[in-house]
Amino acid sequence: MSFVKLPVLSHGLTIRHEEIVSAETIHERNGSARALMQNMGLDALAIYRDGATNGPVCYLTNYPCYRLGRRAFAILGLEQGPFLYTAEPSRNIPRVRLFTSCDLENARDYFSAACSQAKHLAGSGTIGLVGGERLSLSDAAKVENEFSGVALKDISENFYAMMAAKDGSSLKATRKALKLAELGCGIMDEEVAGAKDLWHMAAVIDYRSRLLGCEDTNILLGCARKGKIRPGYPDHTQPKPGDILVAYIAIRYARHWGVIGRTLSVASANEALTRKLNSLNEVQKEIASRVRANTTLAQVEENIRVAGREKGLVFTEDMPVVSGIGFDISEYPLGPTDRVGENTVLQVVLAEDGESNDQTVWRVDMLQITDAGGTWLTGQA
Amino acid sequence: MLPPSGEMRSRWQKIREAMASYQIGGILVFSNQINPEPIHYLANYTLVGEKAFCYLPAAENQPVLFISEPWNHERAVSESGFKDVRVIGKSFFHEIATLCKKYGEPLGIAGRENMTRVDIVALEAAISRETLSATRLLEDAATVKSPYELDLIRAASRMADAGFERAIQVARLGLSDFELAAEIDYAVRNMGATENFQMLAVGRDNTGMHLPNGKKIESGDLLLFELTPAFGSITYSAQLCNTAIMGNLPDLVKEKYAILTEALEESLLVIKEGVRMGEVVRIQDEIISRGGYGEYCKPPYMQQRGHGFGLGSIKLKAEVTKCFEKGMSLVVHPNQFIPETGYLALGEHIIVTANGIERLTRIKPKIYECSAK
Repeated sequence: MSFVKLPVLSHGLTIRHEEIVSAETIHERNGSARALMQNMGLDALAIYRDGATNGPVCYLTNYPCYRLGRRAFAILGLEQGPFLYTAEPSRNIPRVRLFTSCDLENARDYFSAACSQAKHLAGSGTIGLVGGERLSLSDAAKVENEFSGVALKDISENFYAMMAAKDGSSLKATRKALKLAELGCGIMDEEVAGAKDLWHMAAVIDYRSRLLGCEDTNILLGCARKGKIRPGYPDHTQPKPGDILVAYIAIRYARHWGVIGRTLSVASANEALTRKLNSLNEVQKEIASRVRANTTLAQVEENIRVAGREKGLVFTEDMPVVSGIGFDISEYPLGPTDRVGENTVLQVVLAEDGESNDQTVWRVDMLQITDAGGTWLTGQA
Repeated sequence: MLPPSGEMRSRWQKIREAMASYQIGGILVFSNQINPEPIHYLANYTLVGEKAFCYLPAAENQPVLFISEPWNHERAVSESGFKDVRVIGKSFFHEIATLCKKYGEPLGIAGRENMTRVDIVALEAAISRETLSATRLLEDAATVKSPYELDLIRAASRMADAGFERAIQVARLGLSDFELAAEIDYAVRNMGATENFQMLAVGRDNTGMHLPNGKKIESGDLLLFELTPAFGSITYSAQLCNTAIMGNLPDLVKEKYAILTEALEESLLVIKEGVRMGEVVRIQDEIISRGGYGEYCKPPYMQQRGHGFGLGSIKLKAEVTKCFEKGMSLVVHPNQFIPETGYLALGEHIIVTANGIERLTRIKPKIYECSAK
């Protein structure tokens, strides 16, 4: 499950952000990838990504697989690379260094050229593939053809798990992104009192965030007087006094997503809602002490659900309670058995509909997991 | 946004007629975050989350929508108006197999090449036979737009005009490219644009359009715009390409831009139902070559001279032998790299009619001079 809306048409300010993600960081990340290669007996790494999940390529090169190129390969050798290959390179080559940490290879058939580079680096050795599960049927056939007769090992899970442990740069970028998301939430607070419909509220948040230099936004809103409310692609619903509004505001900055979700009452305060929100806030505070690194995502979720039940809140089953977030809105850990390691950042969704689906309250926050427990990033930036 | 009564039935009817000629018993349309347009075309569903499928039987039965996000179920029901909206779960492939058994085989999949191999293997195992690609079928069905769809594109074109007007209004010395992009976005979103695929370039040595990188506008900079608001779905996008300059327009730039203007006007004159699409490219390339820039009329400088958007889109390339049909919609853009000036942008969105074209863009094809406020 994911909260991503539509193709992400990133055309906000897209720069290198070296003050956040330094050359040294990129060097260290490539070093971590090479250490993983050595541990797994690999001689080259071929990492494939598309516009919907750009994380692993971005991790090594700072290249966002935005919609125009939208597909990319990063090829890494034990001593060489990374080499970056993207669809439609001619558009990017002249200015690619303004936003990536490596050059872009000029190849008309990026796919074939990337595979050739991986084969060249591996020699008679083994190539590790990352992103095999993202390959479409036609691209999977191409990979099979390109790597025919070559020892190929899919190490996607290992790579994703490695990346999930956020380094200092990623945490810094995440905090900046979250700060913008929090500002967006503040804008929502202001706008909810006005006469704007959901569509126009989202437009204002998007506009003001872009003026502050964000790369992209992902804003989902929902509004109703009572009952089960879910955020969704903003429509032209006009909030009325007494309505409940649920907002999911995600902002990308320096290739990282920051997200916040809140429940707002329109115009008049609702006592029942205030009570439920207070309970939700108490649970949120409690959660930090209930989670630990080196557990599974299912264990983290169960601990959160237990904390909720202790306060009389049963969190909904139709939304993901916890999932990884960082370069992408949905990234490892995602599955119940995925490991939650030190410095993993999780998106935590606490949503409760009431006993007879009478009133939804929700909040979404970002939680950094450490050996000592959890640290809420929300409100810290 | 609900389409008018009959619009969806008419789309399904077109697809069913094509299914008969493809000899398939049902079509499964696949969308993911990279290609959300097909599901919108068939089910009027705006994809949120990972993926969605829509099954349409060849027989006159209601389609079934499958979505990946359970929390979006209510919205999917209300947007699509479908009685049968299901959440993709563990039994998904068997549900498809049941539908195939009930309504007929073989199964054609639109977007089959975009599905993962794991999913295709699981699906074919469930229905115990190979599936066929129906991508072309769906693309062809969506190429000629209905009157309702053309109205959406007309609205998108008005948004593009407004976005450009806003850009000219706010452009000033020291304004950053990303702030300019934000102003355009806000203008088009306020008019209801669902998305806006946008690129621009600010500077004097542009080789093409780029992502905003913080460049501040200086005196004498050329501002290149490619605005593409979409209304409802990317299939209903309209593009406007144009050029402005901060300050006074030098004669050299004016002279070179006149080549592009001539290429645009002359090529638009020939477009009508039945004309080969490659003809537009031939005319534009000939005029630009006559100006001395023939070597820049091919890759990597030039990819195509126009195109449609989303589902059923067309491409204006020299080798395309397909002919224009009434009701097609596309941007025609003689955008061109010229060594003396850098890249110059010019393009208009049109609708093909029986006897010519309807020009949707109201912005005049010329270089706009922004005063250095």
